[in-house]
Amino acid sequence: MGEMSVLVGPSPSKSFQELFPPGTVVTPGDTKIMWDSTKPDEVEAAKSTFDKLVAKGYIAFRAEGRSGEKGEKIKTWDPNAERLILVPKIQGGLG
Amino acid sequence: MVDLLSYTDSTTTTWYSWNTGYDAGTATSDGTWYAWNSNAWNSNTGTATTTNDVWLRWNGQYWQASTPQPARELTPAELQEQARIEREYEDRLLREAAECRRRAEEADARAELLLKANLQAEQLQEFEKRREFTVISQDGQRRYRVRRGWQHNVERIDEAGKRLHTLCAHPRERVSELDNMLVQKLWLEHDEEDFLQIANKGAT
Repeated sequence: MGEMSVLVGPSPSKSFQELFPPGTVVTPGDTKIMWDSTKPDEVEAAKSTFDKLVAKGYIAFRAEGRSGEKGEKIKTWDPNAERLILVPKIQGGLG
Repeated sequence: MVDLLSYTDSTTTTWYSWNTGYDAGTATSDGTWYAWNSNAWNSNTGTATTTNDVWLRWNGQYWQASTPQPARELTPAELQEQARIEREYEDRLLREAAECRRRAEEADARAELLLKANLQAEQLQEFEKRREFTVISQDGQRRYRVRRGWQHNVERIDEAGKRLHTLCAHPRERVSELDNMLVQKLWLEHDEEDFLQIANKGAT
């Protein structure tokens, strides 16, 4: 099983929600997308969302290990990733 | 059309030329003024009309309309309806505020689960005790303390845990503060250089 957590802002727009696989409930906080790596249609739906979010400026991290001991920032879909976290880009705050 | 760039007459001449349609021949500035306002008084050669008269005539239609009208007292039925509308509006605001709070609390609860799932054992212990955790750079040379918050909640610390200065960088989207902590942790652990380039440095 694969899992992708996407951090979502307080008011996700309709066009943002359309980036997710049909039927996904996109709510403020993190929205999870799960897929069974033996089911090509689920993998494809997850990959499609990943690609669209990255194109929108989201940054992807691959988490390895049970509690994030390892991991890395990735730019392209990794079919072997078990856990992905997609986060909005960061910006400098008040100086 | 006059070519203004190549027109060499004096400003006054230009002024008269522009207005030839209104005041032929030997127009003076005053003459032009009268010509413009010929609709506003009886004769454009008249000298009895003052500027104030023109002003009043131009604004006649507005002047009339702006005459204050005595306020009409609302009937009891109208007052009741007004009060009902105000009550409905206040109720709607209260419902919307409660819904916002509920959604924020749900988002916080999910964010905490996600954060905890991605903290290393020591970080998790720190977080459970003090709602903060330490991130050590990949080369082991620098330490950061990530506290709950949105701005300046990341601190560069020394070996003893003393704050050297704060750093301020957070997601562009206003996510939960706990999600913010996760984002900062991921960035510091996996792309520290980028985080330091983006973050604003704060006070010691």
